[in-house]
Amino acid sequence: MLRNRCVLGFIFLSLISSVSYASGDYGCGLPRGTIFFRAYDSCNSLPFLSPSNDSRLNLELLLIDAGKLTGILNLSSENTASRDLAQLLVPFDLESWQLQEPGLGTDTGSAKTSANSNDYAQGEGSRCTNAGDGLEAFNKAVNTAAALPKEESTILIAARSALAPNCSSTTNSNWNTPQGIHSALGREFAVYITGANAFYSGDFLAALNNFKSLKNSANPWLKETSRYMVGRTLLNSAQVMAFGQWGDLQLSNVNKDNLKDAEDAFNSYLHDFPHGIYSVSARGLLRRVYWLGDDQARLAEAFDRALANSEKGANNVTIHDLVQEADAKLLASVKIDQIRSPQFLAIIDLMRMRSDGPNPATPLTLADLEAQKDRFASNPALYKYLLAAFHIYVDNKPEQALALLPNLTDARLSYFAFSQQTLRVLALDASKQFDAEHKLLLQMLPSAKLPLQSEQLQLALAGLELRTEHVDRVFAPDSPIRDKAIRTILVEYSASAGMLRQRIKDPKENADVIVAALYTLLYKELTGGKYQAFQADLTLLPSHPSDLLAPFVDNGESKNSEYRCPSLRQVASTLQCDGNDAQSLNCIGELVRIYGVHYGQDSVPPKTDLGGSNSLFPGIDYSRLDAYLNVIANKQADGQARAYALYRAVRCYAPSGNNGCGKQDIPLDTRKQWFQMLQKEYPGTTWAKSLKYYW
Amino acid sequence: MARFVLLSLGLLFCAPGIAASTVDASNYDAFWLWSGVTPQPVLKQARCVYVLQGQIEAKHGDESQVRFIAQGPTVPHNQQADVWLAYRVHTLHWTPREYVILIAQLHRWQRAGNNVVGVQIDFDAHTLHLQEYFEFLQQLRQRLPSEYRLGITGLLDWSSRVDPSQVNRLRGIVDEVVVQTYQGRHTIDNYSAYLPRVSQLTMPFKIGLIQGGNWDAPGYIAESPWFRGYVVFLQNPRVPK
Repeated sequence: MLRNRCVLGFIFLSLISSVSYASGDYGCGLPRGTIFFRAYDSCNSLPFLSPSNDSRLNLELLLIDAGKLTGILNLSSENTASRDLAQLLVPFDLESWQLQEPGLGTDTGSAKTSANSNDYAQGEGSRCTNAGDGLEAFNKAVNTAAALPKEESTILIAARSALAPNCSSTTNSNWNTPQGIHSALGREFAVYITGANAFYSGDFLAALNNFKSLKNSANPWLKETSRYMVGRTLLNSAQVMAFGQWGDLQLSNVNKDNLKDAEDAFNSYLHDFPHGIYSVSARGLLRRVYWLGDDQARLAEAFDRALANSEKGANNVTIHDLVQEADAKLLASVKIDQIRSPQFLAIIDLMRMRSDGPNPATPLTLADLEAQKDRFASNPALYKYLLAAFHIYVDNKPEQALALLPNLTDARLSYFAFSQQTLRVLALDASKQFDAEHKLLLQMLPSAKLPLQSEQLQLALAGLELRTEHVDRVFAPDSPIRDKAIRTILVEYSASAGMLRQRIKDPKENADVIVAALYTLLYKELTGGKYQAFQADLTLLPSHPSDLLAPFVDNGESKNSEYRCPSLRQVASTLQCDGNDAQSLNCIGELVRIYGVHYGQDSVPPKTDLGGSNSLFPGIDYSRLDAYLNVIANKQADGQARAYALYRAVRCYAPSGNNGCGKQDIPLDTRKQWFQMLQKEYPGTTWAKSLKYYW
Repeated sequence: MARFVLLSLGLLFCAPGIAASTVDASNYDAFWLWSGVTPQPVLKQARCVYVLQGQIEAKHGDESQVRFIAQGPTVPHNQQADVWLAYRVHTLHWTPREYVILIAQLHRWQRAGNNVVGVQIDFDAHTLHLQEYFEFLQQLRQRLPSEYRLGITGLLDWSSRVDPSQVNRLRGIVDEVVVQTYQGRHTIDNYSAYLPRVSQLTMPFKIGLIQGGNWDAPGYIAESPWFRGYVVFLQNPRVPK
């Protein structure tokens, strides 16, 4: 994840990966209509290797290409904040990105079957989390040990069951060694339980002695298990002093001798039991050894191995867990010169290309990248990709980027190949080669079969059409831009009135886009003073308009409002003759006040984003307070209407003193004058009587 | 007690030479310690710390399955400060197991000699979900051992989205709401516009600030009988050493 603020300091005692979300921030707003972001932005994730992507997503895209994962977008209904706002599929909120692993079914939870059998959270750090598994294995070993007298088996199992692992306690549990064990094998099992008790109680020295004494046991389970437990005990003792007052890990306080002994113990175990009961776990714990020892070179290699061998039962965690673990344990505080894995180097270099990179004091330079060349010997294409990305995101030399990137082929686009071509799109755009960019986008579309690729291309193409003043092409019958959200945004902000009417009449147009077009057309006309056109275009409304459109055709009689208005057709007709008619101006204000503003008509996207520039039908940024100000200034206005405008203008600032009706900043004195004017000039009106304060 | 602390804080802000607008953590005594944030020396003076402990989320694609993901530090020992365990909640559809884990975590912290006082739920309650959220909190309150308090966070505009009857209902369920004046790592630009509504809350509330962010305390906040002080969200220094 790795936003700047997210340097992962805390860790857990177990190997299961921790997840570090950065902060107490809240969810994402609507995605932005662009595919070019220079800074980290997990709310606007992209399906190509972008510096702005969360590091986990970039790693996952590479893993999808390697056949380890598949990913799709899962837009639950909770994510769609408002029905009338078009939500693009690309960019997307990382939280909606859903991974699947072959053989695991949907997601990504813990692969451990025992995950639901204890009261620990997924990833919660404690050597006690798997105490339940240990009990089961022990019982099985006792029951299958032929040389063990039956009554001793019962005692041993009872003693093991009585162990109540309590890793957070500061005191040892009240557990007693089993009595009545006389056989040699029985005594070995008793030693094992004593060791386990010491281990769970945090008495690692005693545990170590017990486990070590069993290394030559004739019982194969005891022999193997105690060898493995020697490693775990040493690993736990290495980190005893490593936690700060608030449970935070300080690598400098890890006991290096114990850590080295733990590493030797695991390697020796793996040497003797390469396919043993605990070999998967031991390999995972070696990652912990490397991490605690700050050995990032071997840690990255171990992650590469674990990710590469995922199908072969090489891990007891899922790919998803490994990605989280790599993010938290490796990428969070990486020393770039230690990393030799091309995959991780690439992820880190991309992070360093962000405008808000992990260490702003030492931004990535071209020389840094060039110095890494040898380390990419096994993957030169990835190296060239990074150089090209550098020229696009950092030093703004798009021509050099283009020279580094391959031409499009007919093959289906992997995410990496798609990323290469996306960089070409960005480079062509930056160097204003719009025709070539247009051609490339169209050529990519048939090969863009993986999730979200097509949506990204459509967005890029729509943005290009808008910049090059070809919005009409987006709505042409053979346009490849079919995405509903993209079309809606262009309807709301970019299309001319004529194009909107075409959308409304086009039987092939999406129904939601048509509603957006109707609302946009009528709203912009009414608030923009195009009263004649408004009246004419009312005829485009269907006979049973949807909720958001219905107010345009309400006949004033039925409206349950404090202020009587005729129909908006009548309002427009009156205003056509007298643009300052007070009641009519108030009534347009009523439309906005009662029904709100929809289809994004109260805010225009940033200039860089789809819909943010080159509009053929710009809105006027209507504010109902402007209408009230107009009426207040009109001394000849109808008394009721002027009283109402004063009343509403004052209320625009209720209750906080901030303007809720527009952006005008009007001094308190003026608001006071409105209030006094209302009370003095229109004392008999409902509005004067009901207004007790001003704000 | 809480009010006394506040009054002295108010004095601090008025003292010459102190930049009232930048949140200096050393002027406060209650903090959030979030995942990925390295503990700072200022925690030594903490009277109260909200520590992130986990995230409860629906499994993507299957709303009926819930994941309880550990976050934050391993359990420390013998903290003097009052500790609230904080949880980021993305789904309200908990199974019995989520309650079991949460309560087990409270006990683990308590057993390690820490002074655990309550649970804080960090949930983005859209207006749409408010009713459901209240029912969830009621459930949690019923299952939570009575010695633990229950608190929630709320965004600044939260106080203008709940009506008085809802606040009254909430007051019967939770012990406090901490209203956050920041998003991401920055103070919300027009935070002061929301404060009049916040000050009208009729339930115990605290104001959440972000370390290094902005805060100019209007006098009327401290005048509210429901105001219980500040909590500062700690963040790592911008440029690593």
